[in-house]
Amino acid sequence: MIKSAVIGAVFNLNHPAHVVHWHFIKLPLANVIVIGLMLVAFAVAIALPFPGAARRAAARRQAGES
Amino acid sequence: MSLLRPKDDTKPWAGAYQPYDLVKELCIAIGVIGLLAVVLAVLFSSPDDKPSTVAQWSRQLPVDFVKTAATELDGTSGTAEYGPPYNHNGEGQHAAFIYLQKWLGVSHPIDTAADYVIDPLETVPNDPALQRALAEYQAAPEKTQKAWGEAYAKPLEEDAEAEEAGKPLPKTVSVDPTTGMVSVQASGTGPVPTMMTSLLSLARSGGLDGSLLTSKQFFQTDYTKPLLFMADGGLLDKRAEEQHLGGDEWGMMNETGSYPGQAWLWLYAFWYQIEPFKASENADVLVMLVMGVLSLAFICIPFIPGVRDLPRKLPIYKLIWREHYRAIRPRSSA
Amino acid sequence: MSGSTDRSWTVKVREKAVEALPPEKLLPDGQPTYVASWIYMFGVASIASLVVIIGSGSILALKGPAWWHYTGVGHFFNSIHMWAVELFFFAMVVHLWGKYWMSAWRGGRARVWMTGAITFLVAVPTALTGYVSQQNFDAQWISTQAKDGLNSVGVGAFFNVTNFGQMYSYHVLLLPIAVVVLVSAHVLLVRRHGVVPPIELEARLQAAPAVEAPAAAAAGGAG
Repeated sequence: MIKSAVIGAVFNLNHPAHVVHWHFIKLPLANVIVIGLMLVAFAVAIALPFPGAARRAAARRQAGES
Repeated sequence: MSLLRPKDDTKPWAGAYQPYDLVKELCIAIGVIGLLAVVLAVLFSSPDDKPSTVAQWSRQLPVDFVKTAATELDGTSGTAEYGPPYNHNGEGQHAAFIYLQKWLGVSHPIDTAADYVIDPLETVPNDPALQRALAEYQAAPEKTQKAWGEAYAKPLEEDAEAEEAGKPLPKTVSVDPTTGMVSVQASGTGPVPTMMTSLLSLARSGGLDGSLLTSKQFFQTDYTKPLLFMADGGLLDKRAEEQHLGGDEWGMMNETGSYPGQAWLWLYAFWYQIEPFKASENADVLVMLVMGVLSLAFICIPFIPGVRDLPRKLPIYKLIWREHYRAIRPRSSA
Repeated sequence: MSGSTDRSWTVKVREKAVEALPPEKLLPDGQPTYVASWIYMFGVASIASLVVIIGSGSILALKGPAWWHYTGVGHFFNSIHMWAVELFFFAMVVHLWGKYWMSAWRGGRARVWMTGAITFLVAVPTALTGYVSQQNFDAQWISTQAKDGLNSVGVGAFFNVTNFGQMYSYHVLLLPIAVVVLVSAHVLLVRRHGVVPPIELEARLQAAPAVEAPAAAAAGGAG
């Protein structure tokens, strides 16, 4: 049996993937997780407030915007 | 205003600037991403399934090996009938009148009978029976060679079909459990059985791996010949199926094991799952042409009416720039 | 400085470069106040991932393509390289999603979008050449499958995915150079034109008369 060499991993991912079936879409769980994380990252990046709001407000006041 | 140039009301920014340290931002980003990559490497490592060799193939699937070798000899294997860039025995794929595969020609010639069977066998020393068989085969007219090949291959094909259908295997093909040698019961096969038995021995010893790789020169980095030979057989397919790497499972997006693969190939993999691509003999060229057009469109989004206007219709931008819109609102309503 | 400089190529190149990107524009210490979202971080995250890819890839190149198969340290650097590639595509795609929904090509910035799109499209074969250079089963499978797509459009006649030597050369040298050049052009164009301003809320495309996008140079250091 041809074995793979995995050295020092905390979690061993060297077993055949669990495949997610949805209609004609068949994707391994790892890919589903990556795509899901991308969508979550996009949403969270837009939703989370960005630091420095006070600094920006001060800059606007100085420029006479508000 | 032409159709391609957008109605663009974007004015240069004349408003306020905040202090912003780009170099520090880049350094922090490199630190964060570097740390993330190291943590992922420590947690999950990376896959490294050992490659298959021709020797392993001949030992694990001897009947499949011999069947493939027989088709290479009689010119009916996938590689033998592929066409360019390997040979002129097929026209390759086409889309309507566009025969790009044929037009770009044969750049890596492979004669499957010579390269995979006859030339390697001619390197085997001190085997008078094999040398007689080779001489008999090469002296025979093409029609006779073909008849011998077909007679030998027929029981092997029946064996493969029975195995795929889950039916009892015919008794015309057997494997010696001690030596691993394949025996095919068929008449009118000429010297082919002797040649195939010797090729199987050569493969099991590892000599065929070396022979296929170093036939042209000492230093080699081109694995085309042994890879195409193995791809004509069933071992790579068998391993790929176990790892869900097949085309019908969106395989080009996948990695061995449970690792994430190439999720960015999702659209390329998608077309192979639907008609008319799924059942087409020209699926590859059709998918490549569709992806070529879509890639060009992706580059040219700023010039495509409708596509370039969607962000205004689905105003996610109002969320992204909400602080800015809140800041300017009192001034604009004054 | 030499006396006669009116025919000096060096002076011409320097003057054009400084005119297009004076130092304060090349490395500004301020950004417009509308740059206020985490979505803006995915561009620099893509560059950071590329730095980690090139760094880990350089270690792998230093020791040769077989090293990572038989040493733990080599395998570890291969793992960093692989995960950095996943992070690179992750960041790049989220970045392009953000830029699309911001219509970031506005205001004469079409070339920014186009260089970004081409970078993504060149990154795909850069990754492919890496996958087929692994010298393991994955490389065997990917190369014997990918060859059919490439052969079908004639590209296989001069780009042979089963030729390890050729693929390794493309992966380690030619395609990384292409990616770095494209990313550099992309970033320099962003510096030249500035980060795209927000879409005007008041303007209605149907009602307002069409407006020519003003030249970025006329606006000086502003976006």
